[in-house]
Amino acid sequence: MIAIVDCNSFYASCERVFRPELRTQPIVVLSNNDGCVIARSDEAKEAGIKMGAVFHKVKGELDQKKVHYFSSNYQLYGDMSDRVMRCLQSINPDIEVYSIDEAFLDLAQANIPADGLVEFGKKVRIKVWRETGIPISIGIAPTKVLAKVANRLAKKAKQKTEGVLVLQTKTEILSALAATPLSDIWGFGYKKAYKLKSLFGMTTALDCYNNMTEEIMRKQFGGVVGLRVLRELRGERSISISSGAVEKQHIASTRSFGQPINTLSELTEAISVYTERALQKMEHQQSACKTVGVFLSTDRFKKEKGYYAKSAYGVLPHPTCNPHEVIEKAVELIRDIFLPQFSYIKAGVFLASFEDVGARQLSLFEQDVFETASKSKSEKLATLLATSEKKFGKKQIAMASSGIDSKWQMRMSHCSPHYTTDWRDLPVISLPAK
Amino acid sequence: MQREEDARLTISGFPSPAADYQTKPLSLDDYLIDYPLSTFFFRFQSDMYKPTTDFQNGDVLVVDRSKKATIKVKYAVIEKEGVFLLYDAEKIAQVKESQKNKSYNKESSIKLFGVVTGLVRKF
Repeated sequence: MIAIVDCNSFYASCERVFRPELRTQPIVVLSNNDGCVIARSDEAKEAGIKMGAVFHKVKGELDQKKVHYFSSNYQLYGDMSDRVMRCLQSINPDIEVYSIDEAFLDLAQANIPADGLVEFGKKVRIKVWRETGIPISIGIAPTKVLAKVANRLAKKAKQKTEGVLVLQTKTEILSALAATPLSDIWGFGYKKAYKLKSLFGMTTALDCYNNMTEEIMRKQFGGVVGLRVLRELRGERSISISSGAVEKQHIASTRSFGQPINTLSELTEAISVYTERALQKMEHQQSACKTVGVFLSTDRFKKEKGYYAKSAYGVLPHPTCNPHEVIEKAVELIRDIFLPQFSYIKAGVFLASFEDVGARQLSLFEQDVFETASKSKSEKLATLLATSEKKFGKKQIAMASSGIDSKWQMRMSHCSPHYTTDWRDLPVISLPAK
Repeated sequence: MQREEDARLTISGFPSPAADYQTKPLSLDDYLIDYPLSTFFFRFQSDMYKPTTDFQNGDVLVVDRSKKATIKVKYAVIEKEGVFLLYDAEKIAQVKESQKNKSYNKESSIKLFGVVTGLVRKF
């Protein structure tokens, strides 16, 4: 059996660990730069706050409904996620961390009797809560896709399920599928659901389970991936735990600026930092990239000042994860598309064409033997940067072009303290008044 | 392992007789933290003065969420009305007693955050 563990309203729950009085209050968390709502507690959902709502437009409503709002505190969320994942791993070593707040557990080696799964799920919930303060929901089923179905229903009927739902018998599975709209099947989305409805009149996962053929699935609904989803839906394990994590095809780091910037030097600074961030993400999946893209944009709601948005791509001579080389390329590209007469509010960097660092191949024209001194120097620099970052924490050392005084830094006026990652931000404790 | 290699690397002549005995240097993390994933730090900052307490303003408290408030526990972190409070053994016992006698009012809900397992002070 496979379990998926999903943290309930994860960002809001992280904030609540250190603000216990908010445990019953509505909370929303805002995107980078306080742009829009990206996470909501159940109470905020009930209060009618929409996902993706533009912050400055709904601020009045939030205040009026006494919804608490937070800028995204990724230092905190990252640390709490890490704690949750390590806790899960201590329970069941066979774990695939799927996202910041989700993980699959392969229970094959756990030797849990069929009638002990609900009990197991409840124990996991209590342990994670006790140790980290984060509430979770668990779905357990024979395949990943079915575990996702179970988890969604566990969350929907929290009172009844106590956050744990096991789908084991055929009856259980079929009734769960009947209660699952097509668009809520993992990997489906609205587009496929719409197509299935308009072509075949299907509305629930059960329709798909009963009436879909593998042939049609493969040809019209996502090829091999679609086929695997269908098989998983029918209880046949087709997406393995370890390789289930699809490596990203591209990585982006894009932000809106705190205030518009109009000089090339500031823009170069911003682009360098974004590239560094994108590279950090890339490092996680141990890849090297070959394609670098950049883009910039003026405010499209202020057309009177003229609207300008452009992107540019460049190919590196060989796949690399060396910040020096990638930043150099990104800066070169941004210089090409920068026009001095505009004020920019947004810019970003894309990395693509990944290769595993280990499996890196030298191209025909790139001769290992003749690698220039400057290249080995820059690789050394990259290692140095990486080690110093581990040693001194982030951002103590940065590429010269990253600048030190960054006017364009994100707007994060509602950020909670970095309770677990900064000595200056520890939660305060005092003595009771008698 | 790394240190063992380092010891070998830095000596060019005779192998270090200490090489076989290299162990991890002392770590305050290891000393203070039993269970890192459930351990959080708090800063002690109180206007209340209590001469008997072990703590001074500015102290860092090591708090383990995974531990239960048993009889042996000297200090615990309590969540009450949105603030974190430090309860000593006597106070914890009082709360337990009132919960037993059902005079415990759910509205004023007092919750245990964790148990204080250590104290860090810099001079």
